[in-house]
This record gives sequence, C-alpha cells and structure tokens, in this order.
Amino acid sequence: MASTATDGQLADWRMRALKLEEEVKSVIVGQDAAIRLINIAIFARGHVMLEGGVGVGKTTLLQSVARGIGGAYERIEGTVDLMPNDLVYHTFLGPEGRPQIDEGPLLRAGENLSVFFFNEINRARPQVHALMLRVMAERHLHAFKREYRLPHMIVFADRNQVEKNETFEIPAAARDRFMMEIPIHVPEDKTLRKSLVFDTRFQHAEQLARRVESGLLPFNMLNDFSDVVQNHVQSSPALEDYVIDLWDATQKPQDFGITLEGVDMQRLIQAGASPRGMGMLLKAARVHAWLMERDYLYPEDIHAVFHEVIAHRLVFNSMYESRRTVLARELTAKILQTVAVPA
Amino acid sequence: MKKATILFCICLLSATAANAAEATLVALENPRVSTGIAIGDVLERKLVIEAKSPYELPASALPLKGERVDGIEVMDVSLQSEKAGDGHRYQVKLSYQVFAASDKPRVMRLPAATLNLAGGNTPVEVSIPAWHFWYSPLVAGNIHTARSNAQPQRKPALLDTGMEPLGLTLAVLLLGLGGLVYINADRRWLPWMGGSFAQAYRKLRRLPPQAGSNAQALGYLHQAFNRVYGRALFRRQLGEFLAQHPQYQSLAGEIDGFFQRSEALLFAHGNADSAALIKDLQQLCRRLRDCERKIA
Repeated sequence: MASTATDGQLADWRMRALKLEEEVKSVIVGQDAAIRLINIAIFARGHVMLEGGVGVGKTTLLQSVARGIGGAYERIEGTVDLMPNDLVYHTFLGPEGRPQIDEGPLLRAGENLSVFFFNEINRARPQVHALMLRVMAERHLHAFKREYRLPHMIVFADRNQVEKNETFEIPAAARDRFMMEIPIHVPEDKTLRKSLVFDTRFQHAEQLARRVESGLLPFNMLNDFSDVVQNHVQSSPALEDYVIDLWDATQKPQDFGITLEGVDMQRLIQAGASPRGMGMLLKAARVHAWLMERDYLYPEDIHAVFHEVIAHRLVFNSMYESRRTVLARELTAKILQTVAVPA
Repeated sequence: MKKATILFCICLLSATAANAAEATLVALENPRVSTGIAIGDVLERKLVIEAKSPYELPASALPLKGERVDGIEVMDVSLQSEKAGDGHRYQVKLSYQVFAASDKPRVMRLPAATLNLAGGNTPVEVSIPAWHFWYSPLVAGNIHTARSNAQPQRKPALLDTGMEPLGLTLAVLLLGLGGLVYINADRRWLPWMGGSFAQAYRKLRRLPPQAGSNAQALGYLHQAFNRVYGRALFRRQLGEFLAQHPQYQSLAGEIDGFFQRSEALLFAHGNADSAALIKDLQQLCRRLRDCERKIA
C-alpha cells in the first residue's frame, strides 16, 4: 500500500517537474539542457552556479524558474564593495527621522525564501563568499538575536566569465558547495538565434518570466519529496563500482590511460572530486533516473550530470588553472569515454 | 603421188592452223593430285577457250550432265563467257565423279572431249585431251581380306596430366580449409583474425553456465564493443557506433536488445537463467564475429 502511495507521489511530482520544464522552455529558447539540469538541481536540493557570457539570458532563466517554484525570490548584485552585512540587514532613516534597521535580502522572506539569486558572485569579496558558503551549507543564520532558518532556499549564482577586473575568483571550497555549475551558451541553431533577435517578446525579460505559471511546485514540500526520490531510486553493485571508478579517474586520470593534449597528466590534478561532490553526483543522478521513470540508476543518469557536478570541483595545478573551463570539459568527457562499467 | 600427199598434208596443216586461230584452248587446269583417287571422289577440270567472232561456244557443245564413260560420270557443267577483243573468252568448269570400282589400283581417265564451235562457215572444234589418274581401292581384295587385315587405330599419345588434378585438388582443399578456419577460428592465427568479438566468443565458450557468471558474460561482450568503438560504449551511443562500423548494421536490433538486457541485469537487479543467457550471448557474439570478419 505504501509502495502504491509512493509510486503515485513519484508520478504526480514527476508530472509537475516536467510541467515546470515545459513552462520555462516556452519562454527560454535553446536552453533545454540547462533547464533540465536546473530542474534536477531543484529536486536534488542543490545550489547552482550559472556560467556564461553577458546577456545570454541567465537572469531571465532563473527568474522563470523561481516563478515556477513559487515561494519568495530574492536577489543581490555582487559588487566589489558588497559586505556580508549587506546580505543580512540594511539601515535607513525612517519616516520619523530616526535610523532604522531592517532585514536584508537573505532574511527578509524568512522560511518562505525559495530562491536566492546572487548575480555576478565573483565580483563580491571573499568575506561575502564566506557568509554565503555558511548559509548554503547550513541553511540558517543567527541575526538580530535569533535564529533565521532558510530550509527551502536554493542559491542560484552566476559568474561572468568575460571580465576579470575587480573580480575575486571563487575558491575551490566555495565551488564545492554548489551542486552544479551549468554553462549557458548562446544557442547555435540559426532559427533560434533569429528568434532571439527579431522576436519582440524576448525584449522584455520581466514580462517573459511572468508568462511562466507560478507556484507549479509547492516549494515547502520539496525537501521532503527529495528524500523520497533519494530513497526510492536504487543502485546496483555494478553501478556502484562504476561510480567508484569514475571517482578514481577524477583523482588519477593517468591511471586510466587518460591523456589531454599538451597537458602533463601527472601534474594536472591537485585534487579530484570530493566525497561531498560524489554524493551530490549521485543525488543529481537519482533525480535524473526518477525523471526518466526508472527505479534504478543507469550509467546514463550519471553521464547526464557528470560534467556539471564534477568539473567545477576539480582542483587543477596552478599552471593549468587559467585553462580550467576547457580542460575540465575535456577531462570529464575523456573520463566518461574511457571508464567502462566493470564486470 | 608423193607430191600429192605432201600437198594434202600442207593443206591439212593450213586448215588446222586456220582453225587454231579461230578458237584456242588457252588454259587447261586438271586436278592437282592424280593418285589415291577413290570411289565417290569428285574431280574438276577448268578450261579457258578463246574464240574469235563469229565463232561461239554453245552450251550444247559441252558434255551433258549425267553422261558416264567407263564409270566416270559428269556431275556438273558450267560455262561463263565474256568479251575478249573481237571474240569471246569462255571459262568452262567440268566436274566428274568417280563411280568406277576396282579391287586393285588401276589407271582411269577423265574422258577426252571435242567441243564444236558454231557461227562460222567452216566447222571449228577444240579438243580436250583425256586426263589419267590412279584409282585406289578403299580395301585391298574383298571385304573378308579387309577384315582380316584390319588393324586398330593408333591411340593418340596422352598428355601427362597426373600432377595437375592433384595440385588443383590440394589447392581447393587448402583454400576450403583456410576458409573454414577463417570463418570458425577464434584465435589470432592471421593478422585479420582474432578480433574483439572473436576473443569475446572464445571467452564466452569457456564460461561455465552457472549462477554468478551473468555479469562476467555481459562484461566480455561489453569489453568487445568498447574495444571496437575505441571507448566505453553505452546504449545511447549505438547510433554513432553503427554509423562508424556499418558492418554491424544488420544486427542493430539485436545489439540494442543486448544493451537493454544488460542494463536490466547489471543495473536493475534483473534475473536471468545463466545457461540461457550465456547461450544467447554466444550466439550473438558469434554473429558479431562474422560481421567483424565481414562474412555475415
């Protein structure tokens, strides 16, 4: 009986998840893969970093997703003079001319906060990163002599890769807190590109996001349902061995015969994927399996999220750090090509 | 009297000379061989006669077809004439067939003939001399003698063909054996043998059909696919794999079925009878090996 109820619950939520995807796809064109990955992150309860150029639609995408999830949505812009307390409170003169203190964007909505969007996070100082790291990991904050709980919050951050002036590289520990780093590219399809330029509905991002049906997902039930998915989707010993091999390959790719052109493989990796990273990989993969209507993990579920979950966690030798984006993509692709399912 | 005789002779010679001048046998062609003629043989004479006007050689002057003299019968007569100067040139062809029989060699002849030309005031004729030949009987004596003298024909010498069929047989046998080895062998005896699926097939044949062998059996086939593809091959990449290796296209359905079955068994706790699974995999692997060798 319980199983039937769970099956019904799984099917019902899957329908909602796919509906959210369809809604967002209807306003954000050419980003189907990114939308699927964001959907996976929502149900795996993981924070997401979006990576891409300027004006490719990252903010609109996140606004659309936030509207679909429901709950409160807050955002802050990363700037070089942004301080941690700017997230927690702000001061102003009240109507009576007396200074007043109000809750900042992180605390304003309280437990109803479902999406916190940190725009251009790499422009903020490391102190801000430190605060965000703590909130992302613990989902609560002590302020105004009391505990603020943020149990439903997911952080979406974006990182402008083009400009490097007055930016602070996000340290490896901070990157590791994000479940995924999703690249957002301009679509290559010519029809879609024409549509983005000539279709006037894409000129008003705010209006575009409002077309998404709001509250498709009951945001305050996502944590509980995520646990259901994680407990429901099983993995076989063969798949577990396969995942361990993949993990080993992120740490010592040379042992698997993996080579990259112009790279000394012995010196490339300083640290491979962390246990937390591998745990997040499996969480995301289980959600993918659930979306694909499966009760068991298949390698393709791992593959579907491998690059986005693992690439940003790899710590390269400093001599290769400047080529991180390209090398990380090549390395994860080579790992998937090389490591076979053990039998 | 003597004077009268001499005068007669001179007159006769003059007349002959005058006649000769009116019609002349300018060519006579007899059969080339005059010996070994037997019954039934056809002999041909060709004459060329030139006659001055107004003399002409009528067809009636020629021997009649069917006329027989001493067993030699006129078989065919042909006459062709053409203008030549102030007269005609005649080509006469006379064919004779020998019907005479003799049990001993003897001389026979094509008969002499006299051809009378017409048209002038005085008669003119052309004489064709007889032509002699040796008739040879087909058998010596009578038929009984021939029988007693009959000798077997000499057999033609045989070519020495003893080694050729043997070599051919051996070559065919060796080629056949080579073909069978190529089709059925699993080992790498030749550079193009012992491919990935041949190796997998050999391992699968050695695998005991017992519980616990399923993963191993599936692994052998997956390893073969990975080696052929050059990297780990998963189900979603089958389209690309078949595009790169079209020799396996004929087994596209079976390959997809294998991957589906493998996923269910390896990742979804599926159960299968080991003996049946290994037998199925052996059959598929053998067919893949045939595709690998491009003999499917």
